[in-house]
Amino acid sequence: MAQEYANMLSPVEVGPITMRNRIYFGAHAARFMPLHGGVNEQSIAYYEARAKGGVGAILTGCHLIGPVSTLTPNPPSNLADERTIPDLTRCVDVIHQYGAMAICQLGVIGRLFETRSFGGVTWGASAVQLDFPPMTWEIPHEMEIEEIEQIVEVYRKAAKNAEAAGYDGVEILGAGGLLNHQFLSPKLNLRKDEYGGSLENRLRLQFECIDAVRNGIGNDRVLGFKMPGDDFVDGGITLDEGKEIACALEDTGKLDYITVVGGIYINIPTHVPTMYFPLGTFVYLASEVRKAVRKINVNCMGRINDPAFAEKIIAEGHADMIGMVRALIADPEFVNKAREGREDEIRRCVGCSEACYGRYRRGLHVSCSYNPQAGRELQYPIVQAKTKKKVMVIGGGVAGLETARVAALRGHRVSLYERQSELGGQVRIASKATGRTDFDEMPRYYTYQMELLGVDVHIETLVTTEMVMKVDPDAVVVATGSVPRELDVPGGNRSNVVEPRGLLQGKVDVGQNVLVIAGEHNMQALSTAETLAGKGKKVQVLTEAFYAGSQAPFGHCSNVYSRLLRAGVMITPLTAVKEIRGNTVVTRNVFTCEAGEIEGIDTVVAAMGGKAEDALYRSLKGKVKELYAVGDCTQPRLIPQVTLDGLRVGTQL
Amino acid sequence: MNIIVCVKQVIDTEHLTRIVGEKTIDDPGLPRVVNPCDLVAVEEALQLREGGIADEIILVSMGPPSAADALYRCLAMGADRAILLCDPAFEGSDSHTTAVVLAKAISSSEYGLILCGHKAFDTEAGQVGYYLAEMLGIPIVSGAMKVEVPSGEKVIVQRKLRGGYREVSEASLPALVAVEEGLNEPRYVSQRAISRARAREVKEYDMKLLGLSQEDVGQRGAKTEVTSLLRPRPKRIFVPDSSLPALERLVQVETGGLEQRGGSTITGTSQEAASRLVEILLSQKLLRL
Repeated sequence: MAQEYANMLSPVEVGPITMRNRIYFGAHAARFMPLHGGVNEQSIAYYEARAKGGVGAILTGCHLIGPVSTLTPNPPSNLADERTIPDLTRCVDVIHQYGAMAICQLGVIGRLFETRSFGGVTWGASAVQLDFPPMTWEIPHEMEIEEIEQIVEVYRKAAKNAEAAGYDGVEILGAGGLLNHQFLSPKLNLRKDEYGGSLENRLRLQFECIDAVRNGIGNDRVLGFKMPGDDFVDGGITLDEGKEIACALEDTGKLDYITVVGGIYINIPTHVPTMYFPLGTFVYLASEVRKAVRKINVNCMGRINDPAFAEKIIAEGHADMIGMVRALIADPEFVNKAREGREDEIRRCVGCSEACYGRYRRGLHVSCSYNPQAGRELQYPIVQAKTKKKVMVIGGGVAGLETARVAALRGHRVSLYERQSELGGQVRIASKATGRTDFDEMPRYYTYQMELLGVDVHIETLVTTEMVMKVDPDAVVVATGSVPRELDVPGGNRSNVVEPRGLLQGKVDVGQNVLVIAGEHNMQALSTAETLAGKGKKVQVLTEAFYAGSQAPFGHCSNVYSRLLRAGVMITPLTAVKEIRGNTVVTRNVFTCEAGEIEGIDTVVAAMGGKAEDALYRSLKGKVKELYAVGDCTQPRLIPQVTLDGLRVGTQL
Repeated sequence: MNIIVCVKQVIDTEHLTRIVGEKTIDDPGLPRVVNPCDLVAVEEALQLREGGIADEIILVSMGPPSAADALYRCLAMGADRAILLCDPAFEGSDSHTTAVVLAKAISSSEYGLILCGHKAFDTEAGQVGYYLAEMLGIPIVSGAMKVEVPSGEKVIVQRKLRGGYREVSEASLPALVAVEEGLNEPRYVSQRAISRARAREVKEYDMKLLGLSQEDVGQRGAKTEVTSLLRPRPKRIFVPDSSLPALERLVQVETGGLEQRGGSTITGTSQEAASRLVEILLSQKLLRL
């Protein structure tokens, strides 16, 4: 079978080392809050799972260095601090144990540091403003020459520590909007001294850092540089300059590889491309750079979630290696499963960015929407159950499916009941919206898992209390989900008021002039609006919040806003719906209480979120040996929270 | 149940240098190999026999006398019999005439399953299987990544779709299955085994023995004509122009740089969709009946 991914799985020489294959776990701030910015038990377990899963290398980090670099309030958070070495050594040993290489990514946070959270001062190349609402950033202190020297010195020290810890190499983070990128970008670097202006000057800090790190690690370790191929910011780096940067970097003769990525952290949708972007969003950047350089290895990253696609990238020569982050958070065993011809078992990243990037933005450690064990490897190990139970899971949405999967893995005899004809619940419905089809990967994965694990699945079966009594299981897990919450205003039950779930399933008719009420603050209302606009309807969106989709991950919100606005959809914030009177919607401004009327509305789509469907759970209380409720039937929430319910109960059974 | 495996000898495309200005890539000076996909088909047949599902494995090939080499190699792998369809009149065949000859040879045999590679590595037309199944009046399942014959009645095939997805299809036997590379790893055969296989008989049939006439075969019976051959264009991926505003570049990346184009989707059963497609092709004068 291996020949199917022969290129992706072929070894590659990277400077002095050979990687066993071309897939590596890209560095990212996983936010496990290690004390000194190094690693802790949880991060080691996280990396261990991915090394064991067959990747060629693990890039730990980004380890933030520099006097004002911190993601934790515990000072000093700094890899230049020798106290991090013992933990790092342990981490490297664990990675090596599974045959993967360990590379340490170093970066200086610069202007992305938030003084609002952590105090201190934020440093940048220049004191320029760059905002991409709804994200806003502080205007930094323009670094003095002595401060630049200090940064270079910190790189040298940190590299030495990485070498002492046994790392096979170091990667300098010159992309992503961190300090090195800030010096590279003509938009963020307006300095008049030898560090700003011409490309040569903007490269000066990069060269100094490269020299310092090479000096710190010696010649028998790998040195890589992650660079931007296009900032997607006007006045920033474009691909033309990106190629020049890559050639200049190669000409230093000190680097073993270059990784080319797109975007800048300041502009979220480009930094972590969502499901709205095509797979391998920025492969073209690496491909173009690879044509421009002489022979240095060029790697690509960004929304590559599938072995067949990865194979194509390598086979067609677009890149030498592929860095994966979300794909491996979702499935640590990606590489091994591909190698063994078990591609169907791969839990492909859908690009929802809810539990990885979304959690990160909320200051939490990363996880995965449908691999809740990611980032919780120590907290929720899946081990064989002491007593094997007969478990009945009622509800085939992702909460029920995750519970069934984990319980079956642990050796329980599991049966699962679903009222509809297909598994997947609301996620399957969400995948019907425009731009959201990748969500159908979740039901696909789980349906196949049920088959593999021998879960006894009953579809089109509505479970009653009597049925449960008859089956007489040792444990019952209720995962009956939610029903749409009604629009609770006069006229809210009129026939021209519909809800998004039925609409997305094509079960209701919608008129030409549509008003969508965004009563939930994630993606349902917005994606429904886009679906309708795509069908040629005239659509407008109302919300009581400051903006519709205020709880959605920034990337998704930006993508869908850009698409909605281009499609001529009007979005009105701070407006409550008070009444539906025939074809007229009566509104009220939430602050001024000013009343308004919108006339000629054929259909009102009320996206009000869900209401727990807990009748079965309540009626089973006290009647069965063990009873649990998971998912929306306890409280309607998002995918990561409900799959975590599943994992928690599944490991507890 | 007997399994017939269609085998083609092809030029080793790795050595291909001359293309421009030619009308065929069939350069007599080039080394010849068994079409890699066909080796996979032979291997699959052998594995089905090892699984107790198949009785006899019969190889069929159309080609010049030298194509016997390909058959010897497959016999060495473990096939039982080999038939070579060889006649100067077959020269210049296209997919259609190849299928005519194969169908004639196969139609009188008893078989449960026909296996062939999904396409040959020389011209990669990938048409013969479809013609052949149509002429024999049996179902075809292409793009096979896994083949199971749970009973003598039907075959269950996992088909390769885009993006690593698989589709599971069932067909009643007899059926033709066109296999993809990667379905299995064809077994190694030693030079000695091939030499030994050379002592075995390869039955040859010519046009007369098959009961075909000049009009049916070769260039004269062909439905298509090669007008020119071009070097493949290098793989290109969309790269937005650096001089565009950032947001415009980003939108182009999101949409793949494609303008939304009009178009229609044909729905309905395969039969209905196929007839509709033929109608469209006829009306656009892309097809002549």
